[in-house]
Amino acid sequence: MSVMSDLRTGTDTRSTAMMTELLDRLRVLTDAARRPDLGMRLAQARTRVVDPRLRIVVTGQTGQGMSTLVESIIGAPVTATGAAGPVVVSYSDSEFVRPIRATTSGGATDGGPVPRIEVGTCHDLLAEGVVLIDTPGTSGMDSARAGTVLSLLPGADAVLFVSDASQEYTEPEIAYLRQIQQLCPTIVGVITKIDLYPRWTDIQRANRTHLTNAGLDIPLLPLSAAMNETARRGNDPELAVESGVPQLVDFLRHRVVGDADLVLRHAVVNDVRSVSDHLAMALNAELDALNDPRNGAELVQRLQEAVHAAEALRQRTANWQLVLGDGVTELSVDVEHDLRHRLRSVVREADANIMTSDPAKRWEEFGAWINGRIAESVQDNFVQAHTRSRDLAAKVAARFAEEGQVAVPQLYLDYTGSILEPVQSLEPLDTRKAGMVQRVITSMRGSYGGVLMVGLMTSLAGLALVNPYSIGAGLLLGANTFWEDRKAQTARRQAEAKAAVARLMDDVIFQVGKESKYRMREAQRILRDHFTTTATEMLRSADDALRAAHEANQVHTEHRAGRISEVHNCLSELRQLRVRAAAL
Amino acid sequence: MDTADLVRMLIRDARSELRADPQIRGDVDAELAACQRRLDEPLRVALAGTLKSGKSTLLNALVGEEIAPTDATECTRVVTWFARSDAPRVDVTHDGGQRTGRPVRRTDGRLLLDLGPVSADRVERLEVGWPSSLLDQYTLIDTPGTSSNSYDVSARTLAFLTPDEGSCQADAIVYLMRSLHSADVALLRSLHEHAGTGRGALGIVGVLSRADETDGGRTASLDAARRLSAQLRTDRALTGLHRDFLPVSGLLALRGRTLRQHEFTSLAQLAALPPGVLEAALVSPGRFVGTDLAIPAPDRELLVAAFGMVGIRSALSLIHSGARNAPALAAQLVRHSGLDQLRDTLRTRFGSRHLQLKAHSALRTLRSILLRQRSPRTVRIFRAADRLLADSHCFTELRVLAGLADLPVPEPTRIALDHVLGGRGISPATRLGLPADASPAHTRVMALQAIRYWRDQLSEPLLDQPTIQSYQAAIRSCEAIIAS
Repeated sequence: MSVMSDLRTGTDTRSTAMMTELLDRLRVLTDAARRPDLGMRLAQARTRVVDPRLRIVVTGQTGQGMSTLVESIIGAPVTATGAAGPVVVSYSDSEFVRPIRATTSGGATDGGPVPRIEVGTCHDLLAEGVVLIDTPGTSGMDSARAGTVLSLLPGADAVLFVSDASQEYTEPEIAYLRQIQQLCPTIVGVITKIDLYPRWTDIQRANRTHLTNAGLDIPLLPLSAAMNETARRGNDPELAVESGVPQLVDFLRHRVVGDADLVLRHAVVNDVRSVSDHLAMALNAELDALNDPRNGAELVQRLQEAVHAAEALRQRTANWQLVLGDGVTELSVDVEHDLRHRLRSVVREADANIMTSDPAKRWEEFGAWINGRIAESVQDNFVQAHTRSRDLAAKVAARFAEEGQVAVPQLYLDYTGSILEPVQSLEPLDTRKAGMVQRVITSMRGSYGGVLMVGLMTSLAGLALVNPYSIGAGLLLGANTFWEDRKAQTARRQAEAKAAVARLMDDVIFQVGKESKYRMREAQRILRDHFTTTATEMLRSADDALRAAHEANQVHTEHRAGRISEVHNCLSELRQLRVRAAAL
Repeated sequence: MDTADLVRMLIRDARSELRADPQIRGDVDAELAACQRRLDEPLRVALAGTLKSGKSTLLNALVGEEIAPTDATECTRVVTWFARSDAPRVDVTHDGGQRTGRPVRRTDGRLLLDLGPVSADRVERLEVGWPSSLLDQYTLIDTPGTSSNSYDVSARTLAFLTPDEGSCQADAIVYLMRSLHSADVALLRSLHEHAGTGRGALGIVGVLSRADETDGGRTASLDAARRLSAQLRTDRALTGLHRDFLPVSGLLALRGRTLRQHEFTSLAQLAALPPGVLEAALVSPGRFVGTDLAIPAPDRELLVAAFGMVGIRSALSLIHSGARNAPALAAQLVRHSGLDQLRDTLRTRFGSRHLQLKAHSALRTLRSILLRQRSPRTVRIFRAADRLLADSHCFTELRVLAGLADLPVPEPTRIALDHVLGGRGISPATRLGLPADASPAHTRVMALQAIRYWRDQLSEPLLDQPTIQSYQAAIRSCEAIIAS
């Protein structure tokens, strides 16, 4: 890894320094203009610049060498293969391993932590803000595991999808990749164990074909953790390059970190531009008023219009508010409908399954199956809700965007694993066999009637009450009752099983519905707050400009020249900042 | 007259009766003829599993020749039958029964199978005839992998193994997997259900394939695969399904069975190198071919292509531990690969019962044909077929054995049932767990004891019907031992 640290580029730190300096200087101007709201925005941008944490999730099917890959990237044995939860590896001066348990009450809705293991270690890639998250393998054996991984993805900056060189992508893997792509667009396909399989280039080609057929555009990086390990021990930089691990680190550093950097820079440029626009508005108004006092009235009129426009944007009746309100209502109806639809088909499958035979015998297995199906449906439903919310955010932003660029707030899909926890599991079915005694009594009861009926009839013919005919009838009816009873029992158990499934579904719909409503409200709140804040800033700027123009009209002629040059200075500084931001 | 003869007779009767019936179409007779032929053919064993689980390689290893094409990427695309024949031949049946012969071409000992102008989706059956002693015993059927990204390839295999109509054409299945995935569980379950409804193959042998790669090929042994196999035996996902998986490395076995002198010479030269040099070269395929070692580069490339990195490591460690010449290395490779255990299992599970398995398949097919072509003339034959299915104890044994994994009995009882019903071999000694040279008198005493034991078990009042039936079958098997 020492080879890599030499390659480390200095540009990243330099651009960070430039961005902070830019933001600091703009901050001085905002403070001078007494605009604490804009100052806060700059402070937020500054924290993001100073602490660019990058979450990279490593996932794949069981036994493809995910943990080994993580170890190989950071060059230290830190991960426990087969751990139940994700392992989060982040930078720390001192090494530590710390298990975090889930909060027992309330689930994830109050932001409780996902159960995981946190590992701190010292490595230069981690020092750049990369956080590696090694997830348990999703061999699909239980979909709950895959669910945990899925819930990590929307917050991730990149996903490493691991599959070894022994075989090409299978159908479940491609399906999983498709799902990942909906949640996190930056995916890197990693092909491991190339030291074992001489034909790995063919596998890589086949994978490329499968990806193209599936419409996925993902870079594929072949590598071997074992070769890298040998290279590290033998101090062989050439072998290290052959192993492909440095290339992956490089890729992460330049493409993923670089991409994230680009996004960040865009955000900073955007912030600088809009804050300076806000500031310049007041200054320009003041300058106009100072330069040309006779046109003051007209200027004031124009500014008043701007104030009204901003005011209108902030109103609850603003267009974007309507779009947001309608969108959220529509969205929650759709999402709930989708959930009900998915669960209905699960119920239908379950009913068909129950009717095939006596459910009591395979109740446990059935329970596991139905839980899996429910978890799967809920996962899919959440993914859909998330993508739809993002679309809605973009729609609202477009509506709002008459005033230049508007950043869309990021939405997070929370941890989905524990939503189903408050749901009661499938209740036990009475699997007890009716005892022999019970059956005998039931059949006796049947045969008793038969003996009595026929016995009474034949007694008219002068025979005794108990005679061969009555006994025969008794036996017939007894056997009949016996079989009826057995059939009735199976039917009863089937009905009970169906009722249990229906109750379970009610419970699931109740819990998940509550949860998804909460999420929808949360998404609505984030969007509303974001755009309201932006509207407020605009209103405030327009107000300031109006006030500045008013004040400028009152300035005495001899102070006028001084003030003009002051404003000029401010404006030119702002312009300069903007130019520098644009050059970033 | 044994069961197979009875079945043969029934089919003959059915043919003559149906031929006399003017309302019955001619292809029914062809079906019956195929059914009759099946009794005289070797047992049909299908190799099944998900994509790249090593089915073709294992088939080649079993036959000892490279007649099933293999590749690093997905290779087998149609269901291919490998049957015995005096001279090599390749036949393609396509477009509703047309048969076209294809030329037999081999390069470097590998058979090339190309379908010619026929596209894969039109092929109904690809049949390779080959002179081989193994194919005298079994007809092997290589299926394309499931979970493939090409939907139609997976669909072809599923249509063969678990057909919607009619019964599976294979008598037994060797199921290969590398590690347990949900796709495997689903396929095993579906196979099990088909067997349960009497339309699927009755015997399944599980194989943990590519066993030399289980621990990443670091150590030249199958220990990691054996551990995995032990874990599978208690895996909850496999409840009620087949859970015995033999670790086998198809590649090592194949290399052992087809080892050539020049390969051994190259390997021996490599093994003579100092350990440090060898270790450095074995780090990656690129290094191995690129470094200047004792043998020329083209030879190294050939070695890598044939053995793979794992295979080379295993072969070298076997040479280091004493394989002095090519025959010794070949024997060691085969022994090491677990192929012998697989062959033994195949022999005990299928070999000794192949007549019964075939008769069972033939009877079921006959029954379904008669059910479809109802005719007053065949009612008698239909009833006789039913009676034979229900009354022949060997069929009962087969059915109980197939459903053994499902029984709610403790594990030791399950193993005992497996033995006594002949799941591990049908000699009286094996059934009773006695040494092979046990005296007849001793066998008799033990059989009586076994009968008493299973009768005791039967007196338990809470047993369910399948368990009762299996215990009764066990008693019947013991009685048969005493009677013989």
